Amino acid sequence: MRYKFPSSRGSSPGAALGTGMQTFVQHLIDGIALGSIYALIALGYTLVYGILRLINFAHGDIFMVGAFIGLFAAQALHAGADPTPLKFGLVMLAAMGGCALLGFLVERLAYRPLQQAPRINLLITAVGVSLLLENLGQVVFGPNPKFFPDLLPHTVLFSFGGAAVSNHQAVVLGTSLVLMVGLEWLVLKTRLGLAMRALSHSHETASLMGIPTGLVIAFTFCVGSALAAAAGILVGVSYPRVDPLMGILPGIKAFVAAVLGGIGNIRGAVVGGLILGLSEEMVSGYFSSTYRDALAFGILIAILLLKPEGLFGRNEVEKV
Amino acid sequence: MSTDILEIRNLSASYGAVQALHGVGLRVPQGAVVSLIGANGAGKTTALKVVSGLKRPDSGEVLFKGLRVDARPAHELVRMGLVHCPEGRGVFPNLTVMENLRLGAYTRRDKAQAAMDLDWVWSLFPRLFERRRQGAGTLSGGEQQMLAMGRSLMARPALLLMDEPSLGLAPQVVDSIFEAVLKINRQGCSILLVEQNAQRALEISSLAWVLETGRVLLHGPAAEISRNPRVREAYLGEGA
Repeated sequence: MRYKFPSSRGSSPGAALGTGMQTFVQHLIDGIALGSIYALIALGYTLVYGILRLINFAHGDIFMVGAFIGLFAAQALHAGADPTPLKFGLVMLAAMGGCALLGFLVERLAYRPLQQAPRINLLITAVGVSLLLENLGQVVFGPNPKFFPDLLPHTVLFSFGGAAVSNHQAVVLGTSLVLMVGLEWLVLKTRLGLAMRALSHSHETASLMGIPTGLVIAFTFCVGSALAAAAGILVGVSYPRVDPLMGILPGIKAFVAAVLGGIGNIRGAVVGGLILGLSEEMVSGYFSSTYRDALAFGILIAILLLKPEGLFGRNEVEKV
Repeated sequence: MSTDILEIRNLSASYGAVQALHGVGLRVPQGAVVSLIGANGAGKTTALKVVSGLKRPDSGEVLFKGLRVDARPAHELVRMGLVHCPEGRGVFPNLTVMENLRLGAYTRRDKAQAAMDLDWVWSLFPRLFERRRQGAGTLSGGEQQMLAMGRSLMARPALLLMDEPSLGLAPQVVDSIFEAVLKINRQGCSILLVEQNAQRALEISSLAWVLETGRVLLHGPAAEISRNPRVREAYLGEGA
């Protein structure tokens, strides 16, 4: 069974009212909102890949756990009955913190012991962790979809012509933007970010600089997982259902977004996410939502054939 | 009471089933330049990697400033003042010259002193200053070697391990590299120099060790080693 984002909360006035330009602008807004969620998840793939050369297949499932932590936090705070922006912030922090811890544990327990093993072992383990989280999720959370409380009651912030921007979309865009700028600052301006960039070239040389490489790797997993958790909450805000398999398809699509932008490249992940979100929205708006998922995989195949290093990727030769 | 900053005793190390070092011993007196020479595959780089904590030995001891350090990870040794300048192009090509140097000072909290050391690196290698905003991957081979050395100096080493600093460089560049090694040593930094350019290494060293297939073949004062007929034949390019 595969999960798809169900239709979003609230109505989409543009789709109902207008044709032509208004419809297009509405699809543009919806597509950017969807794309920034993909981008947040894609950042986690790209960060971990940049440092460990590992496709962390469990990343989509960490996104799912983030949504569930958000669900439980929201229930504990009665955020559905009495929603406030503060509660939304607390739910966000709980999910990001919880997933940072989960990412830390996954790295420590599953990947760290394989540090010296061939890379293929690491990849297979990542698939194993993914299956573990999905099945454990079904045992712990139950297999049926759960309603995600409305953390921010739907309102239309402003509309122009027939196109409308809802508060949900504004929150999705605003949160993503803040997190992306924060990540850029972390990686480019801080000492820890410098250490991360050093590790992305060589762990051995980085350790000769006095960098505790194990800690930096663990930190990278925490950051990537926290971003996935934020994406999980934003999906919960925009679409009302969460279930234990909800991470599979968005996880794969965000991976496609990361590859599209050039895996290991931070800006590439953001651009890749936006391109994927926009094109999915346009395809389902103008053709049929049936083709939406096919599009993502079509893009993946096309990149692998035409530009395997992605839009912003360097063509790295594997060193032996 | 020993005045050796580094002492290696009976060190063995291997890669899987292949043993690379067989009971190697070596010492670096405080303030000295010591060279470790030998053919390719003699175990020189392995010895450096064990000393700097990149590789665990099978047996034997490494003493730095009189302390056992052979079980410590590399990043802790940097903090203690034992710094390994890796072979050839060991710089971060994806980072700028300035960022590489900042990484060299990663463990340091004394900002003012680090700024003075940076000035010293600029005066030692003025070309690095001109290129400080450039990506390290765009530098020439000689400049990359200078950057690797400057980056090591930013950690304020008490002992600097240098792996093949002259490898693949033009003769004039080699001159300036060896000149810099001497200047660094005059600042009080002890140096263990691994070189395939045995002649140049012996000229600036007080002691030398010769490795052959993972064993110490000879050791003694550098001047004596350079007169040894076996060394002259094998490493100084004199035919029999």
